[in-house]
Amino acid sequence: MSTMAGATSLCQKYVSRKIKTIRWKPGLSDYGRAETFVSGSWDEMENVLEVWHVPEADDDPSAIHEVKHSDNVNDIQYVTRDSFATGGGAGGVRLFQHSSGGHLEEKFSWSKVHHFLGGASPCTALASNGDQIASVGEDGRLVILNPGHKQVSRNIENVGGCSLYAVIYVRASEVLTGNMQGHLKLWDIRSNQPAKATLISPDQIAVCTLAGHPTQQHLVAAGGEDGALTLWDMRSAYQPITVIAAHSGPITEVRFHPSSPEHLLTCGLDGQILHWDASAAGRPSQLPFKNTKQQSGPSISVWLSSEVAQGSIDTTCIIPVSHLPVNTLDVEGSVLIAGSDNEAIYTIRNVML
Amino acid sequence: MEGDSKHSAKTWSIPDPTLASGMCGTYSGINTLMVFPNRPVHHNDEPHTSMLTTAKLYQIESFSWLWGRHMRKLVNEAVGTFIGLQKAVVDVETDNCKLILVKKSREYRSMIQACYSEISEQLQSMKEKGQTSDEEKELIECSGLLSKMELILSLFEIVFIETKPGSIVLSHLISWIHQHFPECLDRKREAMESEHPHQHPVYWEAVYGLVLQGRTEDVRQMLASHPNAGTDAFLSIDELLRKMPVYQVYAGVSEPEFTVRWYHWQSECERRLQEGHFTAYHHLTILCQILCGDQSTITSLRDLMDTWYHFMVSTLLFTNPTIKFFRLHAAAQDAISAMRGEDMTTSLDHVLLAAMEADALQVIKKCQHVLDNNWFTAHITDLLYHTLSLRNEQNSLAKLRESLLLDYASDLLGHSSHWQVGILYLDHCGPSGIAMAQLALHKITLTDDSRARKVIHMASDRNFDAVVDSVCKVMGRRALSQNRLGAAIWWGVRSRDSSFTSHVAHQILHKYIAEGRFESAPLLDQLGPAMLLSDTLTFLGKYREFHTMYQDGNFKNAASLLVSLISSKLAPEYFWPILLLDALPLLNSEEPFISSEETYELMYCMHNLSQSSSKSTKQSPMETEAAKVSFLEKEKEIRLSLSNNLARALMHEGTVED
Repeated sequence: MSTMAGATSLCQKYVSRKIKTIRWKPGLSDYGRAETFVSGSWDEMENVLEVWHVPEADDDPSAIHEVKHSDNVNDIQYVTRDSFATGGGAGGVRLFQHSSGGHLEEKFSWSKVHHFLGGASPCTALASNGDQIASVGEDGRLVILNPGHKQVSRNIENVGGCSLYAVIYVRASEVLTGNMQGHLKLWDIRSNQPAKATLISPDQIAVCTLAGHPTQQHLVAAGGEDGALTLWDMRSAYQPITVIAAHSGPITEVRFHPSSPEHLLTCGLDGQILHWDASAAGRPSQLPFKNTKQQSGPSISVWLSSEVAQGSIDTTCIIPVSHLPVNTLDVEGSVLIAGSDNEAIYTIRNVML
Repeated sequence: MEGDSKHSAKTWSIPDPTLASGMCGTYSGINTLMVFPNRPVHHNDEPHTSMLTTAKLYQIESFSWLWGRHMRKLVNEAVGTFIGLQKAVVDVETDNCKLILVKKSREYRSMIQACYSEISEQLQSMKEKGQTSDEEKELIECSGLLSKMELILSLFEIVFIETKPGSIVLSHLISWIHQHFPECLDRKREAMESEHPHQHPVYWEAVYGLVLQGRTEDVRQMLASHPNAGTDAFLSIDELLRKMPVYQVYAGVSEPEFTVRWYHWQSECERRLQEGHFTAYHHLTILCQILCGDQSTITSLRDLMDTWYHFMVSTLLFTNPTIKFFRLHAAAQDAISAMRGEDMTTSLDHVLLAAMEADALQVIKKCQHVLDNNWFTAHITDLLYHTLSLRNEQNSLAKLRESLLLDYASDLLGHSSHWQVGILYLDHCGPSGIAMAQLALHKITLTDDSRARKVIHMASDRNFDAVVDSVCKVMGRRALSQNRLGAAIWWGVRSRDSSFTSHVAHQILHKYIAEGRFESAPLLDQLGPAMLLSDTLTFLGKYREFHTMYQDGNFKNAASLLVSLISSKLAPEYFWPILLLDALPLLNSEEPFISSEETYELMYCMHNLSQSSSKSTKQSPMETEAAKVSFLEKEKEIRLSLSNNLARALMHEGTVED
């Protein structure tokens, strides 16, 4: 199924599974076309991980390979170019490797990384710095794992057992977590100190997802349960830079575009995928791609500009509203992929135009 | 717990002897039944040894062909079309409504077709691999079902949605036949691809088949390949075929005018037949007899038409091309008796016959019977309901539509992962739909936070506040049982459940007494108005506030807050000793933070406490013996500090007054 709307094209492929996570496989170079992604399902009798190939033409992605996953695939994060970790609904973390011919092989697994009194606790999110894997779960633990080592490298317990829903690496050794009470905590994983900083979102709305700016590490976007996007500057962490309400239900995933980070994409339980375009807030004389390359110097990110802080930012919904939650999205180059509870995988090409 | 219901048979048995003496069943979900052995117990029965044997619980779930890997696409694609339809019908003016209904009906058809072709592809690949399995059998069954559904739906579209009553229907019926009986085209291809088409065994079969569907261009192409195509007989039939009038609604030819042309053309055919144009060619004679509408010739060719409806349409094409809709039924009856007699008709035939009688209720009823398939009946009833309400006819279908949608929705809710789709259908089922949606959302198993969040979102979208509260309560109690007090209190606050939050707050206080630290301090610091949910929670929040003030060095305010916590009786009694101990450093400080008034309050509290602790240990506010001992140790110190502070405060107050 494919429809044309301007230059953007949308494919909606029904895959007979509710998709919880979807991730592009990192390309061989930064400039190559992304063509392979993996998806993980949830809420099925038999959950699976699937590898998909996206053709260059406006066609549906085609399934290359699938492997069973005994529990919900709550998150997928690539550790290297061809290996990724999955966080399971039964609290386990597994490491998979793409082998030749597009097949997947399970390389390693840590079972019951997350657990509470009654048994296993779901792992809710993963992050990786290319070396280690950080995993958070509903038991409130932040666990650092090293691929190849059975032993848990670090285990940070959260007093009170408030579920952690999101985790990202802010720097190679600093991890930011978000929990059900809306608290963001910054941990230095090298030292045994308590959290370096605690950021508390207004009204204690649960933080469902976090995304780090690809080049400006102090800039973090958090998606809340009330459907509002909160932008934080980690250097002055007492107040968020801005809070913009856009979704009418909890946000499920936030992504900065990796190479044009003045664009941001979110999806939510209200069945929308929103495209946030802050490029108008930057200096108009500059070409958009130049912004991203200028890391040095005094240039500030468009996300910190006053226009954004005042909430004047263009958001457009880029799919026909689905009546069921969109659980996940990922974007690479000009192609956005998303997975939904209506058992469809969306492939949206030329998303930036 | 085994549930085996993968058979489509209507009755099946559970092979368990313990069930023989009687069983009991109870609904365990929306669509699941829990069955267990149950023997009536009499009072004078002695406990029987056999009762001690293990009894099994059987979970019985409905299984539908819709849950298959391919068919699931229908479920999810159809819900989009369904909701789109409900919205569009409300928004759009009546004129465009019919177009929308036709469009939506075609959407349903195209998803059935897509599903069908996908299954065919898989069957093909299975055949190539040489696999024969149960799966293949199932797929073949499914594809049969899908093609029937498509056949019925497209006829349904012609009869009920697209045409007005009393209009001419044949052109639609012909395209319906074209779509579902493409075999004659296959024969044509087969014949034409051979070296000498006219010698191919199916050549004439193909010609007849094509002409019976009114595909005159294809017939002419085939005849042109005949070596005798240049003879007069061939040229004559070619002319007849070329000139055959075709009635089209928008062709600009009125119906009477078309009728005149038609009779003129057919009498020309008869003339040429009688004049013996085709005597040299037996096949062409038959062809011309068909064109003349010769009933016996058409009947003799019935083997080329698989079904009575094909036969009916072909007959009508040459005998009564302007047939009105209301005469269709008689034609159908004739066709059935000509084909094989009425007693041999299948259930599919009954459905189609009912459609041709324009008896919508009968169609729905038969579909329900035959297809074992709520998906189809729910959607066609919905389409029909909107069509009828469009014509302002008295709509008796509203109730039927609602109940069929409810049936379908309950099927979906019974499935482990289609519950969300089920709720979407219930939105359009009136008050009983709302009631069922509430019940269903209540009953959904909350496996993890993200599922709970989805249930909460769906419930709050529909203003089901009670459901939201109950989900939060369940999550809160679960967190408590997992000893996650912070999470429990968060869910408790969300569910606005004061007794539960009190209970958790007490637990947090006990834990503080035992361990000297707070569970989830940041949460408690930021409670805000939620604090007022219960007294204990208010106390907990305020007590945290005291800690914060104390840590910040704001001793004056901290002291007055502490005293007010004690004097307001907000604090649970077991916590009084802690509060008094907390007051100790404030009492001993250089500067008097606690006024004489406040000191009296504290002294009163102290008095009560020591009195009650000297009474029976059971009612003692102090938790444990150890706590009691540690308090008694400190008691002297506290009393001393109290009197010291009182003295200083009185002096201080006296000086200020001067």
